[in-house]
Amino acid sequence: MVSEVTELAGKRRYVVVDDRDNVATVVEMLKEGEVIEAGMKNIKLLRDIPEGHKFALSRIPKGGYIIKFGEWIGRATAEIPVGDHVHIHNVEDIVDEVRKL
Amino acid sequence: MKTTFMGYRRHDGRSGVRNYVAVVPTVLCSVSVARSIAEAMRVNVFPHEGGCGQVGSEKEHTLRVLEGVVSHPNVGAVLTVGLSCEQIDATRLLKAAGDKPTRHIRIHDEGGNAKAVKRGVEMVGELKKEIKGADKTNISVDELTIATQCGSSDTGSGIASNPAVGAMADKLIELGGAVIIGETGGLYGAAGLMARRAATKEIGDKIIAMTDRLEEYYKRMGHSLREGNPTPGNIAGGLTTLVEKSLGGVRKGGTTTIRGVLSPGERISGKGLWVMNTSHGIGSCAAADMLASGAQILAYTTGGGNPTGSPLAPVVKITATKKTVERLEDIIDFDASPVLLGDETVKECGNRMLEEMVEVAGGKIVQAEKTRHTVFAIGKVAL
Repeated sequence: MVSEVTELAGKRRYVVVDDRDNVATVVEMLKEGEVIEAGMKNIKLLRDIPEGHKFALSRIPKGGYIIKFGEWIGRATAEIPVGDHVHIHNVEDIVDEVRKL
Repeated sequence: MKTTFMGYRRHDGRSGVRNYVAVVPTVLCSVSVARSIAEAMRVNVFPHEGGCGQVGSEKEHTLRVLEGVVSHPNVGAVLTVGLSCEQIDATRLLKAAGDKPTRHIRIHDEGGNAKAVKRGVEMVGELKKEIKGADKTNISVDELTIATQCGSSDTGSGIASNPAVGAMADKLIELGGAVIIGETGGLYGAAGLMARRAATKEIGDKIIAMTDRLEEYYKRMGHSLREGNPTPGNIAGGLTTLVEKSLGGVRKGGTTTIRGVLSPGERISGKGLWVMNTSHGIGSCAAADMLASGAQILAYTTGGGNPTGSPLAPVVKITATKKTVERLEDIIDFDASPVLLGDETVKECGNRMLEEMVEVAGGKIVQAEKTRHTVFAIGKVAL
């Protein structure tokens, strides 16, 4: 299910593609320390998030799945706190796992 | 929403959205002459590197795509340009054209390049006259097959323009039309997900198997499909894994059940969502495969602004990146940036996009047709 999580008013700064996702993709660079309204909660960004990159909407434990598009896109190689940058430094690919029928 | 358009009814029952004259070289040796003829007459040319010295699946693939071109519902008349010693038999190829007006020349018979170009130009002139004023008829949107592709992708592709194409695809399928999603290498990381969406287990197995064959091909060369994928550019742009990249790509197909898997260039034989194995072919090779199936329009998402059109169908260029809309006005046809900026929902954008597709089907010229920047290529490897 594609959801329209962010407010439609004004310029959107990040996109949550599916309401099951635990990451959001930013549309423009967001700065470390910024507080972002995400649904019912406020998220303080722990690092700069460059345009097109992702931050965690909830805590992802080490070994937990990163969820985008409502699907698993990778596995956390370390615990990822809320508001942290989610990218190749803390995520591994799971291509063999998800390629099975 | 308008659910009919004025198009061309073909002898085989299919409907076309254009009435192109196609100049088709039967072999790579005659590409230059074919190009000169087409350029002089401002008609469409289909250059390729096959037609001779090919064996097995590679040979069959070239012939299948060229048959898909001459039989295509967007093509009203055909001139084939041969040499005389090539592998592909123009007589057999032209059988696929059915009752369309056709001509054939061979460079050896005409007495060289210049004479062949001159004769070819005369023949295209005749063909143009023969199809001029061809009757257009009212055609329902359920006869449309739209192929989908992405290139020069960026962040907006996976999260905005591809989902918007997917919403358009869902709507078209709801109205009775068909959609093709291809790019085997691109959907590699989402093959499991796609397989689970297939109508039968057999179709699902085919999706996994076609991506396995591509990976085996890379392995025989001592490499892997995963090497450098996502690309350094993808990673810099924020894509983390191959699975993420693939999932963003396959959103172009929407959310409906997958009805079947087609070989590269194979004719589509039903409605709903189909997967085409475009094998090793990327870019314009994959576009040629998908359009040879009979798809009348290609919906093409692009972040950075891919410039390629096709001589076989209008290619509608879609971007969600505002900068690209503003900077590349002779490339972009459809602005999906309101989705990324939060001013339009994915579904609203999909509906607006389908309206645009129906306009294009009815004759609205796309940028690539206006600027005549078309690329055509047939992949060498069809696994």
